[in-house]
Amino acid sequence: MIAMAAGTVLALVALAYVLYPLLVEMSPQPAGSPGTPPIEHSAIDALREIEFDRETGKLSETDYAALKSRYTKRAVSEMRGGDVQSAVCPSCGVRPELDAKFCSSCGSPLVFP
Amino acid sequence: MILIGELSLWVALLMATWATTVSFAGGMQRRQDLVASGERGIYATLAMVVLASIGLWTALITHDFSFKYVASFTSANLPLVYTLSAFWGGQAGSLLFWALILAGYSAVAVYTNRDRNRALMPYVTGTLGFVLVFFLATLCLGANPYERLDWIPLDGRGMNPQLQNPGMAIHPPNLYLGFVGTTVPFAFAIAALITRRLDGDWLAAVRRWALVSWFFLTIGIVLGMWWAYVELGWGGYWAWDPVENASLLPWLINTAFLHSIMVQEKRGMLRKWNVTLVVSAFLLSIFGTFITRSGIISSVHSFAQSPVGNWFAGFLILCIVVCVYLVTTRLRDLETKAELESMVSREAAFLYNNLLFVGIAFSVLWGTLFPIISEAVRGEKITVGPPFFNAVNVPLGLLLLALTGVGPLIAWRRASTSNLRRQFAVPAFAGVSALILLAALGMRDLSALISYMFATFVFTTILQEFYKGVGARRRMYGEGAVTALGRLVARNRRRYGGYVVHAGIVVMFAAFAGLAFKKDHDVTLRAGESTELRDPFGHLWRFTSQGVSQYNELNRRVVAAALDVTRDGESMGILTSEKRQHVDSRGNPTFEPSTDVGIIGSLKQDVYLVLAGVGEDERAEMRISFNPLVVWVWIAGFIMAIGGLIVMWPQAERKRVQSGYVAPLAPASRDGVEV
Repeated sequence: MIAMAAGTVLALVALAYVLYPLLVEMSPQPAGSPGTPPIEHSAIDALREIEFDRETGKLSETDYAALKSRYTKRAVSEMRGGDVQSAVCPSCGVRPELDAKFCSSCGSPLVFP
Repeated sequence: MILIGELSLWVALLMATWATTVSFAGGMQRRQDLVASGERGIYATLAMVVLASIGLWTALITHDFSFKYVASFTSANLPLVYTLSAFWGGQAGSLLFWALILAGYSAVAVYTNRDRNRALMPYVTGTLGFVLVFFLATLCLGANPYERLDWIPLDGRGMNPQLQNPGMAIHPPNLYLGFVGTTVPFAFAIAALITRRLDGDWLAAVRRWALVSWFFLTIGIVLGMWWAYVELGWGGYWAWDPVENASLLPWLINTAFLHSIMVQEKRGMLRKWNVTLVVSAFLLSIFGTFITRSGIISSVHSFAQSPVGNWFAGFLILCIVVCVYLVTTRLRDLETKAELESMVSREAAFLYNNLLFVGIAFSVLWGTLFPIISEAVRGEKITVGPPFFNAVNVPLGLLLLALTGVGPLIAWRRASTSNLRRQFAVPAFAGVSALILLAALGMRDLSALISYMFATFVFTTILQEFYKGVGARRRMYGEGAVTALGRLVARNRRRYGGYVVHAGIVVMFAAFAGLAFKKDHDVTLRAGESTELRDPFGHLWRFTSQGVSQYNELNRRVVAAALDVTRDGESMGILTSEKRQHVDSRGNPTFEPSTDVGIIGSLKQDVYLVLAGVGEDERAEMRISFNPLVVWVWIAGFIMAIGGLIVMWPQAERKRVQSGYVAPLAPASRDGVEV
């Protein structure tokens, strides 16, 4: 009899626990909202891995150059808070220089797409 | 406490049903209150299942034989550790154990994603809840561990003596942790399919879970092999039994997925394939459970035939229908934009690797199901044995072993000739040298020769990878060799932990190949008589019978034969094998007699003694086997587990989500491969 009562109490407690969110007002976050913002500085990790893979012979020089340029651009953008476009040199590709007018490698004027 | 446990099972079913209903409803109506209530439903289910489990354990420990389950699987004289492990020793208890693990995993999955993957989570919770509902309904209505007997027996039937083994106490929990671990990735896959959010997010969320499942399945399978070897007494560790196969199938698919996931991360390819693999791993886990529970295929491991098999068959069919519907209606969302650019590239190697894994899985599934298929087609139950499985899987396994060396070294996208030469010259030379050396030493078994050639090749590739990795770090960061090695592994756990697992695979294949040189000898000896036998390594062993003894232990009558063993004249000790007849607390025999094997183990080989019987004049009839390299199977399992731990070890948040760069690009598909 005591066990039966304990079982009933158990069921009621469990019900109260799961029904609680329906009885109180929830925060306005809708069910479909994205959750945590994207991780920061992921491009820098990628750049490290690109360098490492090149050193261990896993990436061809062509792929290395293409990837490095792409992730450097992304890393610069991440470091600037994601809203600033990187400078691009017509002959050397994406450049990491901040606020520069000319490419530090070949001297060509930089463009900001 | 027992009654509370019994009631908790029903409350758990109620909670899981609630969680399923409100989670799906919350997801569809985008109502946060319903989603939160569903998540609480999962936590509440866990709490109830824990209470139900404590109740059953209490009934077992207190020997409450009024419960059918307690009376069927334990007895008053059963040692405590096996009384506790009887929780998963029978049909109903093991289902409760399954539900306990599933509820635990579900709660962890819900909790760890409380701030992540919020668009997916209602459907993840709903799917997990649905699987829980199935298990809890089966427990409450089909196989209730709290079912009572009309009368209370004085003692229980006791545990099958073959299950009274330390390996058997820990092998099933590991296997269940692995089987059930496939459910969380399945739930994420279903959620991704429902919401059509088939980008990289769901993959990142499930990779860790797939690893957990793989890790426990690996340990569970190796422990099962060890149990079969030391307990069943037939001299081997793998017999392609349907239940063994059932555990191998999700392992194979999980392993394939852990490789192909990298192709999707790096190149955005194999999206349909990955979803299919995740879903298949779960379906095969349920299928394996169905095989063991239904009695549809006979096996040394299976549970008695019971209606639970029909429950599983129904659930399996329902899951297959839902999965096929979801995948076929989402094919357009699963289109891959990148294409395979070369058949000689990392992604191609992964593709071959996956085809082989799935090929092996298919052949194992086909061989396992063959008795049912043959009965349906020809009206005759034909069982295919180890020769079929070995004939198909040994060549496929050897190819897979070779790919274990090729995959990690080859470049992404397109491997150049210089890349191939640079990466493979040394390992290929080492492999061929091993082949020539072993052939010159007189080894003639073709499978073994190829095994050792590929094993050497792969092992050299792994060493080379560590060597090059350390070299690269030293050049890039100016670190010392030891620091570079430590950081190499610590900062690239996935890659280098993976290599450790590969090393374990190499060791395991080398150990498998050792069985080609196994030697069995049947001997009959009276007390004082001896026999001399030569092992595969050329040592001369002398076995002198010390006679047969008979005595009683706590819950068994024992007949033991002892041999005094020398190797090349040097004493190796006494080797004993027992025949055991288990008895209940009144001395009545229970179960068939079982065998306890005697083993003198070393790194080179096991000397394995099985007492087959005792004839007239107390002649001991025995089989003495020399089993080369068996201990390396267990060492390999250990190495693989260590590798798995390295890969799984928690990292900083950003590392956990980030998997490095994506997709070396071909100019033509520059925009296509973003995932």
